[in-house]
Amino acid sequence: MHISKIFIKSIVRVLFYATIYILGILFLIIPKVEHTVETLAEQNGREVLHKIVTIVKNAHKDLESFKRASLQAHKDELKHLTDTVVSIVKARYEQSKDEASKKEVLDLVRMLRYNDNNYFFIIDYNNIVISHPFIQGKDMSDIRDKKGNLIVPPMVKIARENGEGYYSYWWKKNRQDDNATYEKLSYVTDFPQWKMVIGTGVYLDDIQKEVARKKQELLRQLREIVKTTKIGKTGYVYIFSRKYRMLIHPNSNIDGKDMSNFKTPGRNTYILSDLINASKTKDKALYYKWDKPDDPGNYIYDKVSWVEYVPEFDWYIASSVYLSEFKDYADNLRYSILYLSLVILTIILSLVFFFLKRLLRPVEDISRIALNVSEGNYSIRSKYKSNDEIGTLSNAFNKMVDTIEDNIKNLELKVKLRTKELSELNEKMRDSIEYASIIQKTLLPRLEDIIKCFDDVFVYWMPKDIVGGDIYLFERLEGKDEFLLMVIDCTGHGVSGAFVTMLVKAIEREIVTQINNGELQPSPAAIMACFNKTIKKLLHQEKIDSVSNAGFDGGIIYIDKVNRIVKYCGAQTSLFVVADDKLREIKGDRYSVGYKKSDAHYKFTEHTITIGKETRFYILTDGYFDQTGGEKGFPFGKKRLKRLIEKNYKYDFDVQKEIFIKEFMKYKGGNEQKDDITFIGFKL
Amino acid sequence: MENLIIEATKSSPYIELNCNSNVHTIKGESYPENTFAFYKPVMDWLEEYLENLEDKAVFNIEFIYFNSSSSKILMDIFDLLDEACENGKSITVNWIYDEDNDASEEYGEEFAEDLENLEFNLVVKD
Repeated sequence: MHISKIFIKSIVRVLFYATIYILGILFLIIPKVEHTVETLAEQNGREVLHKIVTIVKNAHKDLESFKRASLQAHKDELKHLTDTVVSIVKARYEQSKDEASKKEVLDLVRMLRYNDNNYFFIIDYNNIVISHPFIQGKDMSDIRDKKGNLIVPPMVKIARENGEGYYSYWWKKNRQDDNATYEKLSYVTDFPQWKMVIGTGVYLDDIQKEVARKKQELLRQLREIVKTTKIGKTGYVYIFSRKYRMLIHPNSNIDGKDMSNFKTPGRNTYILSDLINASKTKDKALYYKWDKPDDPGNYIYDKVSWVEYVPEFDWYIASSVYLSEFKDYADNLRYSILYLSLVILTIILSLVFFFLKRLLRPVEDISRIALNVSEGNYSIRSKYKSNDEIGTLSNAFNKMVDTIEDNIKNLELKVKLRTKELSELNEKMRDSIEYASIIQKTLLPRLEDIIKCFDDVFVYWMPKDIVGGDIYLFERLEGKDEFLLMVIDCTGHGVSGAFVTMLVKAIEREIVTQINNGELQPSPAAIMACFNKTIKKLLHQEKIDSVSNAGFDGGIIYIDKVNRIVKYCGAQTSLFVVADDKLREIKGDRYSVGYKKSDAHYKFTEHTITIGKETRFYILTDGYFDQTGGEKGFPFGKKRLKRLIEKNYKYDFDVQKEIFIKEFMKYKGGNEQKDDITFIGFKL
Repeated sequence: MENLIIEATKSSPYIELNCNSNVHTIKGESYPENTFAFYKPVMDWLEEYLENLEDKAVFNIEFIYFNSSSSKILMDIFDLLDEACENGKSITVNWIYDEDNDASEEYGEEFAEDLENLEFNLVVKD
């Protein structure tokens, strides 16, 4: 499957943001959530504790009100009964105030019983018991109960001072099998007529028993509550007394045990003391190591307990949880969040994947087509059609390719047409120039005319184009063994050069006629001057602002075979002479023929050379030694030319010609020929 | 006046005539189809430049190849510079050529022979 770059880029970008999203959850949200969870768990621990404390406090209140109500009921009953007895005593006293009736009353009261075995008692103002079922006549002035309190005198005192009152003390029960004393509450009322105090009492152990039972009931209920109360998964509540007794604990091996000697694991302190101390701190928490119900005795688990003191019962109620549970909660939550994030992420990524695929398909198509177009295939078009931006792109792209295809077809047609026109024109011109070339060639001397005048000779004429600016001329003076050889390099090359050669040829014909007529000496310098003057005149070069600036460089050789003399005149052109195995360059004047800047009356230099038997002459235009080539693209150079002549002059001129051409071609290599070339060598 | 810069082509040299630095460069090959037309702006520029020249001017000229028409123009240019020197201007021409380029060396020597006032140095390229 081909996956486009833009698709990969988009997916990578989405993945990047997704990673940031997950990292954000990991590092920002999860710690916050964890913290919240821990706080909530702690709150929960404290709340449960608080609830239980509240339950205990409420139970205490109930117990207290039960106690108060019970006591009040006893009090009311005592008063009511005593009032009844007093009313009987009073009635009797009204009838008769004497001792006999008093004794009668005392005896009667001694006989009275209520509520199973309860009785009344009467005491005189001297603390003597004057009516009682068991201790009749006993002086109780100095008798104290087990707490060391006087029993009777305070009752007498209360009754005489307030008319009535309640007093409690410790007293033996009227039972043969029970010698213990119990707290007893008595009601006494004064009967001053006979200077005595009448009362009855009730044992309060009933109430205390009831309270104790209710307390036991509370403990039982609390135990139920404690056992069923879980803080988190394994946290629990427990209650212990100030006397280091574990009152309620869900763990049965310490439930109800004396814990005063149980040290806090890993510390040299006692666990319950530590907890009691913790209850006095602000956050009421104690962190320590403890065992687990499923791993008893292995005190390695971190735990926290929150402790509250309940003064009503002198209890400490504590709730505790394992710290690992907080972590478990947080872990659970973290994994849940992560799992959920991953699920959401996967869904988003899948959606992005498919959405991108769908969105990018036309873009990829257009991209592929664009690539095809760039490679010159204009035949395919995007098929995507839609009213969105990609549709617009697709449509515009198709139109663009249409335009390009159309333009290219048009252009190709036009180019073909133009090329045809041009090649036709070129052919015409070529035909024309080739015909001109025929004409130019006919102007050149015939080779056989030259050959028969020399001992040995070669002529190499190679214009750069079909026609050229180089021309060579050869004339035998009428009726004499004297010759004129000229090598002329006219301005420029090609057609313009060829035109100048025509002019040169015409002037040369005129000059030769003059010489043959004896009007002009066959002197190369004079001939050169004549050329100079004539060209300047014909081409109107007398003035500096003249349009034409044509002319030529070249050399004129006059050969007198009879006297074996050669005369030479050069315009920017050298004649190379090899005589006695030595090469000599006879430089021409540094002066060109024609051109508007030159002097029409310039006097050229003429050199005269006597010809030995083996004297060889070479004359050539700069097209040969200025030709660029070689390794660095430099001109051929005169030095190289000289070395070439020195090395090969002894060969037949045919052979030399081959060598000069071969060396030239070798040097030129792939470079174009820069200028027309004329190269002539001869021996007399 | 403005500097004259002509980029090189296959048949014409790179020309940089700089009236700010007074260091001028001509470098490359020269065989344009119409040599006179090609060098016309150069000649015009030089004439105006030389008229106002006060500081020392240096021409660094390095030709690999030039045809005979170009050679005539070059001579015209050197004549112009020579004449300016005669009129008190201070101009140096460094004719730079490769050790192996005999033709360039020889042409340099020939130009040097014809100049009287212009400081014309033949400099072998490193």
